[in-house]
Amino acid sequence: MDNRGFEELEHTADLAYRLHAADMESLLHTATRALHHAQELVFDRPAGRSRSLSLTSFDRETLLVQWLEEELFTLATDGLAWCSWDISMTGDASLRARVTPTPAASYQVEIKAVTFHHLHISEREQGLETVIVFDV
Amino acid sequence: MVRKQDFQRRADCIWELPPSFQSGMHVPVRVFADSAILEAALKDKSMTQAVNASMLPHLAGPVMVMPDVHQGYGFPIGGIAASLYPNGVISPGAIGYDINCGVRMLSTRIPFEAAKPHLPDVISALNRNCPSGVGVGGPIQLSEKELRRVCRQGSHWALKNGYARPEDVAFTEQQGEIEGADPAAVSARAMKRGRGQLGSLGAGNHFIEIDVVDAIYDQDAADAMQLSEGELTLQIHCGSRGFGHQVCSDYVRQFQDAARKYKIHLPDRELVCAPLTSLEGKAYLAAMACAANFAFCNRQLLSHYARLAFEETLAGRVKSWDLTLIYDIAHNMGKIETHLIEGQPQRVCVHRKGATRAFGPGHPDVPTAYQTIGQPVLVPGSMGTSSWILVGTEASMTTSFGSSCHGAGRTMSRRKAKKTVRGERLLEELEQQGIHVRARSMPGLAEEAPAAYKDVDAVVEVVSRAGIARKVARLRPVAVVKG
Repeated sequence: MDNRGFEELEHTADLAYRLHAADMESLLHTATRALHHAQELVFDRPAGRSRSLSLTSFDRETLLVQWLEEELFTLATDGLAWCSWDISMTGDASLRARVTPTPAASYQVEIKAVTFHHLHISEREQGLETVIVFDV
Repeated sequence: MVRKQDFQRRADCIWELPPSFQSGMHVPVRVFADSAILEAALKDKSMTQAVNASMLPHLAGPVMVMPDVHQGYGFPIGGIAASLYPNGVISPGAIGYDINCGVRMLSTRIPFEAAKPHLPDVISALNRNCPSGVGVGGPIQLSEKELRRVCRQGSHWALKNGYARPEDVAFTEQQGEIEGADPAAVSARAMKRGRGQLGSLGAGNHFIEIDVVDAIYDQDAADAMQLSEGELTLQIHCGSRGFGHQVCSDYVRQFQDAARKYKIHLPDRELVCAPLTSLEGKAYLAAMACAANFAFCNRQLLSHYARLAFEETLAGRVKSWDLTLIYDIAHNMGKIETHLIEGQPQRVCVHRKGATRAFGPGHPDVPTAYQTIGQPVLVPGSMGTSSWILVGTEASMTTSFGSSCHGAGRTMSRRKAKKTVRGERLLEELEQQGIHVRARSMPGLAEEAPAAYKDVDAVVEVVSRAGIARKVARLRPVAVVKG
């Protein structure tokens, strides 16, 4: 694991990442950067206007998927990705965030979906760990 | 960990892993492979994923695994599972995010030698006319009302709006219109994503390819499909675009809760399912049908633009430049079908993920023109290799829930392909082989290098030896648009 908090794993057809973070907020942060890595996303324009976002799920794994799906949807419909985000957990599986959607200068890989494949957030000595697979 | 010695060899190219292999398996896993393909498949997690799929409740028979199998994200690509209807379940993840990803094949009366000097123009026109690439939408911006019509009518929407001929609809699986589509079951987000994407190819492994009929193995079937050696064909491979991706994402997430509600315990959350007759199950079937119809319509629009490209570049240069649809077939779909289970007709919901329906001769769902030969099964290769046209057989109906393979199947990860292959170099090599390529992205081209795939000829040999499909024709690529 490097200091980005994620590493890419071997997968025959899709893109898989192991994520590691101190807590749930950091895990969501790391997952977003892993998603950008998977997409080969590049920003080179000024940041857009920030907006707030609230999400509630029935467990942490679903919240993680829902959070990433929010950005996939914004990118697919408006060509915007989040260049910054500030997340506060408001419960075990709910969050409030301030995100800054910004035009993506380019992205090379179309992620079809964030999957639940063997998705489980584990408690480790140094924090949380999970593996997430993106369908390409 | 599944090992080769855990399998029992049932017949030539047919292996079975009994339910006793692992606790929780309800049915066997039946693999169609020769020894080499089976050994290769054991190197990734595809067999473990097939074992997990066999733990879905109320299955009607073995989980089938085709020789083009590779690891997916829950259900293996190249997998088939049939659940009992009405008492079984539907699993969106066992169909996949690209609902009704599929292939259509069109024939021409254009001799390769006559078209050869013009192929660079033709492929450039296809590239211009058929929008492709990451984040690239289609040429039509649909109103929500019109998108709801596409959801319900599929290819018939294209027919009503001048993008199709009646015979196109007749030669599309289910006449390009899956029953039970209800746009009310589709989220506002999916509708928003779908409005601008009709008539677009997408990216990844989606492509448009011009091939030459290289060899004919069954003259009667080739005649029925108007295929002649040395003449051009056209393949289009794509699906339901962001519309289908969103439909599947919405339901996989909703089903996390439904699986708990119905007390369905599975080894992988991506396999979540709900009873077919539950509110959740019915809603997914209705939404899936919308996405499937969108995909049929999408491939139809691309065919229309392809016809225009052929006319633009070949009119006056060859005798006939028309494209005639041979067949359009899905390879990611859940369908309610009737199959013989222990000699008795039984309705089942067949989940096919990276697997093609392969109905045999005489089946009522096979178009009249193909009644005596069986349904065409389209098996695209990997840009620089052969593609195949097969037909379904009587044996496929009894051995594999009327299913066969859908392509070559990946063996190399996308990242490894990009590290191993340089897109620019690959482009040169393909040009040297006489294959003209138009690609939006060189890294994207490298990901889809022929070296990243299995040998499609070996895959086809397996389904042929196992008797679940019969060879009709082998095709050789001469020009490709990569998404």
